[in-house]
Order: sequence, then structure tokens, then C-alpha cells
Amino acid sequence: MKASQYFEHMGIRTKLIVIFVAIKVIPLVLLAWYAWQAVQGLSEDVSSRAMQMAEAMRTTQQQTGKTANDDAVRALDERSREAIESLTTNVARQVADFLYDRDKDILRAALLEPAEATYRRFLSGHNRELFGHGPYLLAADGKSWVPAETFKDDNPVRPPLNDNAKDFHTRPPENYGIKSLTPLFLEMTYVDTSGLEKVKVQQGDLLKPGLRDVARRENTFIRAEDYWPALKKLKPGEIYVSEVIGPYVPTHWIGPYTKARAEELKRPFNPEASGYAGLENPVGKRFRGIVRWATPVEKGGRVAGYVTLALDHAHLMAFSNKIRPTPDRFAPIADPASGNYAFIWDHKSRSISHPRDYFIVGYDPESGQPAAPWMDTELWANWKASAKPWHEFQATEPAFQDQSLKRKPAPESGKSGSVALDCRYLNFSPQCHGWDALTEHGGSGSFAIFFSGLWKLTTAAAIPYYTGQYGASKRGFGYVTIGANVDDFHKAATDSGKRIDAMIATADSKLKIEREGLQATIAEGLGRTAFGLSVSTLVMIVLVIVIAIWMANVLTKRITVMSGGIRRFQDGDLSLRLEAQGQDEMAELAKSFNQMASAVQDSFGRLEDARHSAEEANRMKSEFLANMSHELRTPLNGILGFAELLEMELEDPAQREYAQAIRTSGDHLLALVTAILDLAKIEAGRMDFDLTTLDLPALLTEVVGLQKGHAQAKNLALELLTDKLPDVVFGDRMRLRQVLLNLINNALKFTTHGSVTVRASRVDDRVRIEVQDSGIGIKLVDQQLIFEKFRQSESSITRNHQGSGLGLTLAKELVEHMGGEIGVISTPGAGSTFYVLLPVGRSTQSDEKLKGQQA
Amino acid sequence: MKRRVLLVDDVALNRKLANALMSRLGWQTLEADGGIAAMELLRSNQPVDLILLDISMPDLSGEEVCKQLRSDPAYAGLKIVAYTAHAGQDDVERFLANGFDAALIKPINSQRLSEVVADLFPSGA
Repeated sequence: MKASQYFEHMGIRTKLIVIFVAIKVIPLVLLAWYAWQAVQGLSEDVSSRAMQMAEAMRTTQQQTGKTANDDAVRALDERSREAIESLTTNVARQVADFLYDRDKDILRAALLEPAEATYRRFLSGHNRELFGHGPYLLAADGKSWVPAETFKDDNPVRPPLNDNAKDFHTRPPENYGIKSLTPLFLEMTYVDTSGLEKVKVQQGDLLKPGLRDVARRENTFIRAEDYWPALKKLKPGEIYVSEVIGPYVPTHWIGPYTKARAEELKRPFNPEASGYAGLENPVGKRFRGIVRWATPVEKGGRVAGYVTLALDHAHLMAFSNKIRPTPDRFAPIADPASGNYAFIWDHKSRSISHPRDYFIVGYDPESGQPAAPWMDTELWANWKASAKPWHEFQATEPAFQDQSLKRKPAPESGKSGSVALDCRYLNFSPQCHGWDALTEHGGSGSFAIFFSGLWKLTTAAAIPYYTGQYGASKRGFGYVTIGANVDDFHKAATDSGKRIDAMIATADSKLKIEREGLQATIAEGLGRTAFGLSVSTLVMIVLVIVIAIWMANVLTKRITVMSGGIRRFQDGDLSLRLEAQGQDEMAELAKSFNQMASAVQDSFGRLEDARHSAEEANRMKSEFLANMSHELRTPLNGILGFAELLEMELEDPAQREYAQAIRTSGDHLLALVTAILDLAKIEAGRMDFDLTTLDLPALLTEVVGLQKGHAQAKNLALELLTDKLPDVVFGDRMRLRQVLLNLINNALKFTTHGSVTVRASRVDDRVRIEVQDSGIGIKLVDQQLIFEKFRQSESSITRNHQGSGLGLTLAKELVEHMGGEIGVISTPGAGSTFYVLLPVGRSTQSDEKLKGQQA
Repeated sequence: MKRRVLLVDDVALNRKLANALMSRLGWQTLEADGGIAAMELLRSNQPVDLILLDISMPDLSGEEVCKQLRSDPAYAGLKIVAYTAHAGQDDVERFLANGFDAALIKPINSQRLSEVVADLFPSGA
């Protein structure tokens, strides 16, 4: 059922309640929902704004912190870079100055008389202070090297006045190490124009004594010097300066060389046999080398020979190996592991000063050729594949080939012990190419590089010394590089950045707590609002429903009372009247009902009276009929009875015939009386029909049997033909018997010769019973009239045939009262066929008639 | 010994007719001209086998007589036949329901009477 149908089936009261609840509860719920939405929206808004504010504050703080920090970092980095670049440039300048001083030395030496005494005097006058470190010992734990004697500064300096106290900063005296006055030159020679050494004065034990023919390379220092061809080209005043030449110091160890590490690597601990490496190996073998200056010596306007000076390489080393680009500034010993150290590279980018001596490019004293440098896997493989000595292979190998941190040192290269740093071929160190670029045009600069797990700032500055071969490029003698850990520069900024971050984090967490508090407060408020809203809405809904029911009751009470009254009136309480209070429609309705009720009651009263009268009249009529019957039968009893007695007792046939005539007339009268009374009874509706299913074949057999005698008496054939007859039909057995007897009797009565045939058959749902005779027949005009009272086909026949004239009328009435039909088909002179149609089942017509009679 | 029939009717002619017919059937007859008389006669220890009893009688109706007789065990074997001009089917049914053994509707004839008597007394008179 649809909702609308449900609604239609509701009572007014329910409808009123539904409507009232609908128009009140729906807006109420909507209002509550709207209020909830608004409150929720507001709280969400407040919450999100608070979040946004907090987020904005946090972002601002972070950005401020980051900006300040970045600026500080950048400023510090820039300052540090500037400081380090400046330091590098200064060192490079110092080196250049130092070298130029040596130019002056050689030029002065050229003016001297080439004699041993003169030269010795010259050399002894050229010394320079160098600082070295004292002896180092392996620490007790074998993990590090410690100085045998520690230098202690027990003289703290305090500000003498309060006015000096602010930012009072003091440094102890610079600790360069142990000072020693060291000769600048290891050798001074005079070579004649054929290359033969004529004078030779030596200091120290590096160079071999004895005069030799230096035109031949194998006679030079470790067979590596080739200055003779250059010397011959020099004009007076021109200077030749060699590259750094010294025997390569091999190593079997790279990095800290301690007993602990040796044990860890399961290698023999023999640091003295390996290359020196500052604090990593302070007891290793040192690189010893020279740089040779030479210039022609004039005698009488022509070149008589050449004077040479071999600079002790240690003096070059002194420029770089004490420098630390940190607040320490200097250290008596280099610490290669720290990453903060200075190198010097020659004009071919070869290491000529390094805290790790085994990294300094040197020569093989046997061959006089450069020792193989440290190589990456690819270069190593290529070199090995070429099967050439290094110097031959190197001559064809391009420099700075795809240098990259991705390249890795060849393990075999490390193990070979020959790991000099020739930056041109140090392909796993891309900073080499960077330095080359920075110094190519004689300038300086820096870049940061991520190396050995640290961001390092590396600076390079060309050494502006352009004498001799070094004048070939703007780079001059070579370049100084100083590296430093970038993080160290801006440590202060990083620290303050961390502090700012911590502050922001603290503020942030506070803000977060505040925000959570705010959200919790909002949520709590929302919860309270929701609860309050729900409860008040529910209370109001209940209230509305209660009011709706109450109002509906008030409104429908009068309708209920009225409909109850109407129902009682319907049930027969005709005296019931409704209360008609007030002037409204309901009162009008009640008044109208009351008027109608009065009218109905009056009508009913009149009807009742009429019914009573009719019933009384009917009763009287029945009584009259019954009395008539009784009163007529009583004298007939005497007439017929005594006539029969007379007939039986009289002996004279004529007299007996008279008596018989009396009896026959009496019988006729009785038949007439019976028929009249039956008709009257039917018309008065007082004849009872006992309608049941009856056994038709048995009834037919019985009535035909009863008339056999009559037929035989008239010498007529009487036949019964049945066809497909149902066992039972519906009707009153006695009345049907009466009708059939009447019809057969009439047929026999009006037939003088021939036969009478009784047929019965089923036609649809009815049974047709025919009585056919071969009698006189009935004219068409009479065929309807014969069923009317006191009509016969011919009045003369009546007299001849002793009919009451009421038999067919009664038969018609009886058949019709049983729900059947009666009729005739006749041809005058040929006979008649009377038929009766009766229902097989109980017909509705007979049902209705029955009801009518019973009422 | 002849069977005895009591003929009760307030109309003398009817009694006379019944008497003639019953006598012809070989019965010994007694007559009473009303219900009260009939009851008195029966109570005077006159043995009777059959009563032909009129219904509409002024003093005591045949139905009342029948009712009294049927309530008395002394008359258990007595046959009572209504002898009446009340010809309605419902009347006959009522009589048979109230203790009458049969009904003879006026006007009677000898054949009908002898049939009824033969029905009630199969062994004959």
C-alpha cells in the first residue's frame, strides 16, 4: 500500500496527529539540524583559523630563523672563504717572494769568483729559520702518536682593567714548533761550458759529492736533472729554475699509521719504513728534494760557465705544512686526517708539498724517471695494458680526464707503494681540475666539494713567480691550495640555528598544546551543544506529540461522539439524539442529524404500523382461508361420505347412479374448493414450499403408475420415456407430484384415442418434463388463457370433462414458485404437449422467492 | 372379540358417517360428542383400541385430548387418528408430531379409512 493510501485509511484523529506532528516536528528537527550545522561550522571555522594562525606563526618563525641562520651561515661562509682565500693568496705570494729572493741569490752568486771558498762563504750566509716538531711516540693505547714533550702554556692573560674586559681575547705565542736555522741551499756548483762541474760546495748529505759531467743526466741528482740543455741557451742575466726533484718516498700505508690499526689490518707495524705523514706517521721517511737555480757566469764579455744553487725543498714545505685554516692558525705538525691543511702544487699540478710525504711527486733514483702516481682503476688498467714505463705512458695520456668522485682508486695502485699525487692523473679527485681552472690565469678562488664524507671549501691561489720556465704560463710556479671543513666556518651560525630550531620547536609544541586545548574546548563545547540540542529537541518533539494528540482528541471527540451516536442509531436506537452545543459546523451537523433521525424515526413508526396492519390482515386472511377450508370440508364430509354409503348400499342401479352423481359432484366441489384455497394460499404468500433435492425418476414412475388405471379405463397408452436424466432435481416433491398428476390427468381427460407420453430429459442445467397427448389440442389464442383462472379451452368441454378450471393456473403458480417454468405447444386436433422446466440445481429465483415467503 | 373404536366429534352427522363406515369394517363403535365426554368415557374403563378424534371441538380440542392421553401410560397402546377438516399439510404434520398415529382428512371415503385402519392394525379386525 502506498503512503497516500495509508493516509486515506487513517482516522481523522490519526490524520490530525500526523499532520500536526509533521508541521511541527519537521521544522523543529530542521531548526535543530540547522543550529547544529551552524555551531559545527563555527567551531570548525574557529578551529581551522586557529590552526592557520598557528601554522602561519610557525612558518614565520621558521622562515625568520632560517633566513637569519642562512644569512649568518652565508655571511660566515663568505667571511671564512674570504679569510681562507686571503690566507691562500698570502701563502702563494710568500712562496713567490721567497722564490724571487732565490733569483736574487743566483744572480748575486753569478758575480762571485767560482772558487770553493767563495761559494762556501756564500752558502753559509744563506740560512733560513725552519720549525720542526720534536720526537713523537706511539700513545700507550697504540691508537695515536703523541709528542714526547708537551708544550704547556701556563701564563694565562687577564684583562687588567674593566674597560678592557669586554671581548678581551688573548692568544698564547704562536707555536710553530722547534726552531732551527737551516741552510737554504744544499749545493752550489760551477759548471764549465762543456758541462763539467768545476767547483762544488755541499751542505747536508742529500747530494753526492764529487765533480761530474752534468751534461750527462745519469750524473745528476738521482739521474733526474736535465738542466744542461737549458743552461746552454741562457744568456747572461737569464735564470734557469728547475722543478722540484727528489727521490719518491714510497709507502705501504695510506692514512693513520698506528699500532692499533696495524693489528686491526693484520699488517706488520713498521712506520719508519713508510712515508712520513705528519701526525699520522711522525716517524716515517721524509721527502728530501731540491730546486736548482742556475745562471751564466760572464768572464770577459762571454759566458765562461754556469753557477747553480740547489734549494733545499724543506724550505718550500715550510710554507704549507704548519698552516691550519682554523683559529689555531699554525701547528708544529700537520694533521692530514683533519682535512684542514695546505698543499703546494707545481706548474704541472704535481704535488710538491704535502703533509703526507709519500704523496709528493718524486723520481725513481734508479731510472731517473718520475715514479708512477696514484691512479684510479681505469687509468691503472690502461697503464698496465700499455706495458710502458709510466713516463712514456704519461706522455701520451691526456690530463684531467673525466675526473669524478665516482671513480675509485685502483687497489693495485695503492698496494704498489707508489701513490704520488699528480693532479693531472688523479682522476678520482675532481677538485684537481677545479684548482687547475681556478689558477690557470694566475688568479685564485675557491669552491666547495663533498669529499671524504664532508663538505669542504677548497681554495687555490697561483704562485706568481714567473722566472724561467715558470714564465710560460700565468700560473707561474704553481699554486697553493688550502682546504677547510665548511661546517667549521659557520659552526656558530649552525649552533644558533639549532638553538632557533629548538626555540621554534618549543614554541611549536606549546602552540600545539594550546591548539589541542582549543580544539578540546571546542569539541567539549560542541558535545555540550549537541547534547543540549538533542535533549531540547527531543523534549520539544515529545511535547509537540502530546499536544498533537491532545488537540486531535479535542477536535475529534465530538466527531467520535457523533459517529458513535450514529452507529447506535443505526443499530436501532432510533430515539437517540445528539447534543448540539455551540454554533459551529459540528453543532449544525448534529442538528441536521437530529432532524434526520426524527424523520427516520417517524417513518419507521409509520412503517411499523403499516407492517402490523398488513400482518394482521394477512393473519386474518389466513385464518379465514383455514376456516373456509374447514367449514367447507365439514359438510362435504357428510355429503360425500353418505353418498358413498348410499352408493354402496342401494340395490337399484338407477338409485345408485343418483348417489354416484352426488358423489361425483361432491368430488368436483371438493377439487374446486381445494384449488381455490390453494390459489388463495399462494396469492396470500402463505403456501409453504419444502424445497429439497428430490428423486425425479422415482416420482415420475409413481405418478405414471397412479394414472395407469385411468389410462386403461379409457383404453389409452401411457408411456414414460426418460433420457439422460439427473437423479435429482430441486423442488417440492408434493407440489411437483400435484402438478404432474394434474397434467397427466388433463391429458388423459382430453384424449379419446391414441396415447399419452411422459418424457423427461436434461436440457442444459434444467430438466424438461413433457406430457404429450393425442387429444383435441388447444387453439393458439387459448394457449395462454388456459393458465388463467376459470379459463378452459372450451366451456362445453369443461362440463364434459369435469375440470375445476383452476388446475393449470395452480400448476403454473406452483412451478413458478419452485423456480421453474410451464408452457404448452399444441396443434388443435392433433394433440398438446405441456412441458415443465425445473432447475437441476437450486435456482437463485427459487432462493429469492423462498426468502420472500419466509419474511 | 371385536376391536373397539371410539368416535369423537361434536357434529352428530360426522360421528354417524364414521360409525357406519367403521361398522362396515367390522368394528364395535363407541361415540362421544366432545373431548370431555371422550375422556370421561375412556376413564370409565371402557376398553378402546382406536380413537377417531375430531380436532375442532368446542369444549376440549382433539389435540388437547391426544396430549392428555399420550401423557398417561395407561393409554400407551391406544391408536389415535385425527378425524378433521383441517387439510393443511402443516396441520397434518403437527398432528403426527404431537402423538397422533395418522390423520383422516374430511371428507373421508371408505377406501382411505380402510387403508389407514389396515395400516394401524395389520392383522385385520
